[in-house]
Amino acid sequence: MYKPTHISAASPTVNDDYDDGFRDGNFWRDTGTPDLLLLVDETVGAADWDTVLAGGSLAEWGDWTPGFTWTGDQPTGVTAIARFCEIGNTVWFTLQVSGRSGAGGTGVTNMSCTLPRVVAYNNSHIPCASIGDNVSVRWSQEHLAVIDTSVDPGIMVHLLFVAIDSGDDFTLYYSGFYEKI
Amino acid sequence: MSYRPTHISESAPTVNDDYGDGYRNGNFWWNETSGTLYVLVDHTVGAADWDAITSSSVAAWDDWVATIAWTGNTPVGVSYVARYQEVGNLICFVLDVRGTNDTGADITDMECTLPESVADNDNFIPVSTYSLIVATANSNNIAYIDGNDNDLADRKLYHASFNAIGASEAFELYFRGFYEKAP
Repeated sequence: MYKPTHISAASPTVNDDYDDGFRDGNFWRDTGTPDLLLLVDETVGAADWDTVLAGGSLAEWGDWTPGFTWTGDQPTGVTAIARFCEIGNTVWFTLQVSGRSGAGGTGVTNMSCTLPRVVAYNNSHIPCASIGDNVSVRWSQEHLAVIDTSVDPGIMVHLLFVAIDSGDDFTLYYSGFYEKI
Repeated sequence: MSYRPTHISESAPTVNDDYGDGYRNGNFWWNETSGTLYVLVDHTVGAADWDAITSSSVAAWDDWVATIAWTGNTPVGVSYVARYQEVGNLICFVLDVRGTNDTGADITDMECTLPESVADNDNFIPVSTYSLIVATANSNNIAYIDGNDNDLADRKLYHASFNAIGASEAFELYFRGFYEKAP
């Protein structure tokens, strides 16, 4: 059966070949990765599919799960809205983190965070746009948030962090982009 | 409808470009206007799902019409440079707004529409910004895109804080940002 582009949630194998109806020049859309692949050799048992478009849909946004490390009082009730997209090796992300500073008396004094894709190790700091908002310090952009690519794996850190008083509800907002490994 | 491996159109496919219209999973759609190639991954009638997979116009910049609303007072002689690019569902933009306040009250805030609809992702997105007021640079403004408002028309660029522009003061406001476009 002729099928110009095969749609599948998985990648093709060497057995997706002539006997299965595929012919040289056929496309395969892997909705999982999602990649677009092209059959360049239909040989039975040795089919060869080339990836012609890696990363699939262009700039399709999705969620990611950030891993936070806090300094000082550990916050409670932390929630995050974390979105990202990829274009080739560029990763674009936005992050919104809310919570309440712990009641230990120290307050939250710093935070670092993992990112949606592994950061290229290029030994630089990449500035992020950031805004902080809490009960004691309304709408501040005195945070200096950067992606530290000199560590492996690269994470987002603060060179300056506006301390959050104990017991304060807070929200931190970030946007940025970086080179993916 | 006869078999057509790639449909050529001046617009993007919709959920109604489906099996009933002769499209089948794996068909391509070329949008000549945006230069975007789509592949059909679900031809269900009334719920067709087309994935944008590439664009010949990646990183092509264009102008957009910025609709600006002012609080406190309305400046005179406003001009702006508004440029953006669209890559799939990512919108990157720069905006440069200039004008002069009149002799009345201070300008205390400004908001602005964006080139494409903002996704409702419950998120505030920081925008890089600074201002020149009477030729003095400052970074006191805090600008963000509201991706939280349920009303599409209200998902715009706002300020959480705004450096007031006094009477007769000339100003320049600069912005740079990106956001997720509404699907």
